[in-house]
Amino acid sequence: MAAVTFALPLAWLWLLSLVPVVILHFLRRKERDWPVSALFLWEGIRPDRPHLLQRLRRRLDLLLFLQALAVILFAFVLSRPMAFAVRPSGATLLVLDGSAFTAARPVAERVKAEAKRVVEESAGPWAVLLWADPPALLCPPTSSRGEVLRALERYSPTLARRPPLAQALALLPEPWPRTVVITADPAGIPGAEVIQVARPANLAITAFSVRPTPDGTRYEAFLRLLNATGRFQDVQVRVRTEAGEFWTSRLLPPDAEEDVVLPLSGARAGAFVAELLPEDAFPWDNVRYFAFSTAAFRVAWWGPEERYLWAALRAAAPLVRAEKDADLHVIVSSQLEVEPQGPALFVAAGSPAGPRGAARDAGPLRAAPSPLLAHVSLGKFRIARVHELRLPAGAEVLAWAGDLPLLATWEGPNGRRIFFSADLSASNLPLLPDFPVLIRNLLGWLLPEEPAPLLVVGESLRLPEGFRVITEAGAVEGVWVPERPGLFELRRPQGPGYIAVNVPWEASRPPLPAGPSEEPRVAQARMDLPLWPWALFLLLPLLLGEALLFRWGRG
Amino acid sequence: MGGPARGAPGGATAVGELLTPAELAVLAHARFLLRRPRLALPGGHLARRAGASLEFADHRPYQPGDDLRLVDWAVYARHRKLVTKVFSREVEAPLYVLLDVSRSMGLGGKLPFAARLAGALCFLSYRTGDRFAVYPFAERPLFLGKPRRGRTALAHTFFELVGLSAGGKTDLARALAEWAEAAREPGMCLVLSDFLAPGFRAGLAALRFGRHAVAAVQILSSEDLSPSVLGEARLFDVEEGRGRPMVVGRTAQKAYEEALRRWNKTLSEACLELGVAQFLFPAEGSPVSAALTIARRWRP
Repeated sequence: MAAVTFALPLAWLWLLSLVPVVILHFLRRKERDWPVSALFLWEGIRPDRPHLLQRLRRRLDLLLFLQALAVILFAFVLSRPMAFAVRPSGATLLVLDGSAFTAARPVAERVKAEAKRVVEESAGPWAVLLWADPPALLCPPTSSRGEVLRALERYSPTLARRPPLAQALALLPEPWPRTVVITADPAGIPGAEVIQVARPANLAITAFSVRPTPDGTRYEAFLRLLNATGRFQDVQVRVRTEAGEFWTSRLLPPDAEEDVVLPLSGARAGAFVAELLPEDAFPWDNVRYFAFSTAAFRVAWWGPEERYLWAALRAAAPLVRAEKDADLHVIVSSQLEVEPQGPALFVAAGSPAGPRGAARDAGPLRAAPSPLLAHVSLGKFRIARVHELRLPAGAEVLAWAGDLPLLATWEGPNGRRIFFSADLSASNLPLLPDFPVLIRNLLGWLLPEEPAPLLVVGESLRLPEGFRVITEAGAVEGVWVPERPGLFELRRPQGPGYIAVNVPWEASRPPLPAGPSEEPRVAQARMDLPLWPWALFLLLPLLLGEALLFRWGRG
Repeated sequence: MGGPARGAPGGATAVGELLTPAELAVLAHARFLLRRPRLALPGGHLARRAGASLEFADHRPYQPGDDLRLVDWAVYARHRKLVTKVFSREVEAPLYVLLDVSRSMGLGGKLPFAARLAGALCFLSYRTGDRFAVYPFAERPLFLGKPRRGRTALAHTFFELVGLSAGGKTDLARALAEWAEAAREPGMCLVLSDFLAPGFRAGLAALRFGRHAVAAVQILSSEDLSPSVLGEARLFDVEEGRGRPMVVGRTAQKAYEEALRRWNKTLSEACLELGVAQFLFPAEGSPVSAALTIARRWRP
C-alpha cells in the first residue's frame, strides 16, 4: 500500500469541532459528589490550589480522549480516504497444474491457496485453466473475483501426466498479458510466471517389472526404490501375485534410488502388485502394477542365444520360437544376408537394409524424448561397445552412444525395424530393471496389434475388435482412458488377460529445478481501496464505548 | 433485639453469614470478665462489693452482729484480735452492645464491621452463659428489650444483625441517655459507633450514671482516617445532607487528619474523665481480632 489520498480534503476542517469539545469538557463541572461521615471535620480546611497544568492534567481523562478520537475519526471518514495498492494489471490467466505431480495431499491445497492469493493481488479479469491430461477450462474469462474463487474450489488434480503447456493453453487461443503457472514441477515452462509449491517428502517405486529367469524356472521382480525424504528410511517391499506374497526390506539412504531384485519362487501369474511401506503423502506411487501380455507370438531367432534378451522378450509377451510364419524376427549379433519379412528387432545385428559395422567403444549416451524410452533411465545404462550401423533412409535415431546411433526405428517395405546397436555382453543392461521395460516398449512398437499390458493413468488405449476392459463402470470397448491406477481385466477372444495401470513414473521423481529464465514482465496498475468504510466501522464501537463510559462516570 | 424473637428464625444461616465457623472457633476460647475470679466458675463475675461466695476478698475488724462463723479464728489465735472474713459477691454481668446504625456508619464498611463485631461480642457472652443484647440506635434507640441468654437468643441476635441497614442521623446524647434510662440492670456496656458526631460525652456520662461498665468502641473507615486525594469534589455529609465544594489535595488531606486527631483527642479525654474504656478499630480490619482485643484489654 503506497499512499493514502483524500477525495474531500476540506472535510478535515471538521477537526475544528475539537475545540468546542475540549472547551466543553473543561467547562463541565468536574466535581464529584463524595460522601463523608462528618463534614464538620472539613470545616475550616482551605481547599487546595493545585497548579493550573496539574488541574488540566487531572481533567485529561479517557472520556476526552475517546471524544477527540471520535471527532478525528469522523473527520477522517468525511474526507473519503483512499489507499492505493500497486497490483499486476491486465488479464491474468491462471494455469493450475492438475497432473499427478500435484496430487500429493498438501500440494493441491497449496496450489489452491497460491491461486487465491494471485487472484486477490491482481486486478483482473481472470481465467483458470487446469493443466492436466486432458486440460480443462475451470473458469472462462471473467471479471468477477467471486466467480474465479468459486471456480478454484472445483480444482482437483488428476493422477495423469500433464501434456505440453502449449496444448493446455490452446483452450484459450487469444493472448493473455499475464500467465501464472502454479505447479510443483517448474521444469520446462517458458514464458510464464511460475509459482512453485513444495512437494512433501516421498517414498516411491520408480520402476517395476517382472521377467522369467533365463532358465525359465521362476520369475524375478525388478524394482527401483526412491527415497526422497532427506533421511534414512527402513522400507518394506511386498510383491503380491496370485500365488502369494513375497517380502523384502531395505534401508534406503536419503535422496537416493536403489534397485531391488526379488525372486518370486513358484509364481505363475499374469499380474503382479508391488507395494512399498510405509505409505506417505503421495501413496499412489507406493503401489505399482505389472501385467504380462497374454498374446502368444511366434518369434524367429537369428544368431547366437542371448538368455537375458529372451527373458526380457518373454517378460514383455508370451513368445514361442518358430522357424516359419513368425510374428517377429529377433536378430542378435549377426548380419543377415536376406531381409526378413515382418517386424524385426536387430540387437547388435544388421540386415541388407541396415548393415552392421564394426564394434566401437561407446560414447556418452543421450536420447530424444520418445514413447519407446518411456520409464527407461538411460543414465543407468553402462554400455562399453556399440556396433556401427548404416541406417536406411528415413530411419529415426532415438538414442545415441557418442556419435553412433544406439537405438533407431525404421518402417520399411518389409515391416517395422528396430536397430539396437549395443553389445549386450559388454553392458549392464541384463541386470537393470529398465531393460525389460525397454524391450517391452520396443515390442509394443513392433507389434502394435496387441494392446499394451502396461499403461499410465490418462494414457489412451485403442482396443482391437472383440477386446474389452472391465472397469468399475463396466466393460469398455473402443478407446479406453484409465483414470486411476490398478489392475484391470482384459477380455479378448484368445482368453482373459490383465492390463496394469500406474501413475506416471515421472510423478515420483523430485521436481527438477527450473532453468534460468527471463522474468516475465508484468504490467503494474494502481488499485483504489476505499478506507472510509473501515474507519466508519471503527467509529461505531468507539462512540458506543464513549457513551457507556459517560454513563458509567455519571452513575 | 436479643430479647424476644422479633424476626423469623434461621439462626444457623445468620450465624454463617455473620461469622464463619473458623472465626467462632477462635472466639470460643475467650471470655469477658468484670474482674478475673480465682476459680473459673461458669458464668461468674466478681463484683466490687463484698458478698457471699466462695471467693475470699479481705479481712475487716469484727463488728457486733457479724456471723461468728466468719470470724477468722486463726488470726485471733496469732494476734488476739477478732477479724471477720469478707467474701466477694458473685454477680451477673449482662452484655449490652449499643450499635450505631446511623447513615454515617453505612460509609466505608463500618456498619458490616460493627455488626460482625457485635456478633462476636455476643458470642463471647453466650459462651460464658451471660445474658446479652444488641441495641441499634441512631437518633434514638431502636430497641429497648431485656438481655437474654442462650442459643436461641444468639441465633435471633445474629439474624437481626445480618439484616441491619444504615439510616437516620446520629444523636449520641439522646440515644444513649434514653437507653440508660430504660436499662435498669447494670452491666457491661459497649458503644459501637464512629463517634463522629457531637454529644458523645453526655451519652457516655448517662451510661456511667446507670452504673454500667462502659467501653467506647470507635470504628472508622480508611476514608475517615485518611481520605484519598480526590481532586475537585463536592463533599456532602451523609447524615445532614449538606455539602461543600472542596479541592482535596495533600495539604487538605493533612489538615483533615489533624482535625480528626483533635476530635479523637476530645473523645479520649471524655472517656478518661468518665472512666470509659476506649478502643479504635479500622473498618477494614478483622472484627474477630477486635473482639479478642476488647476481651483481653477491657478490665471494667
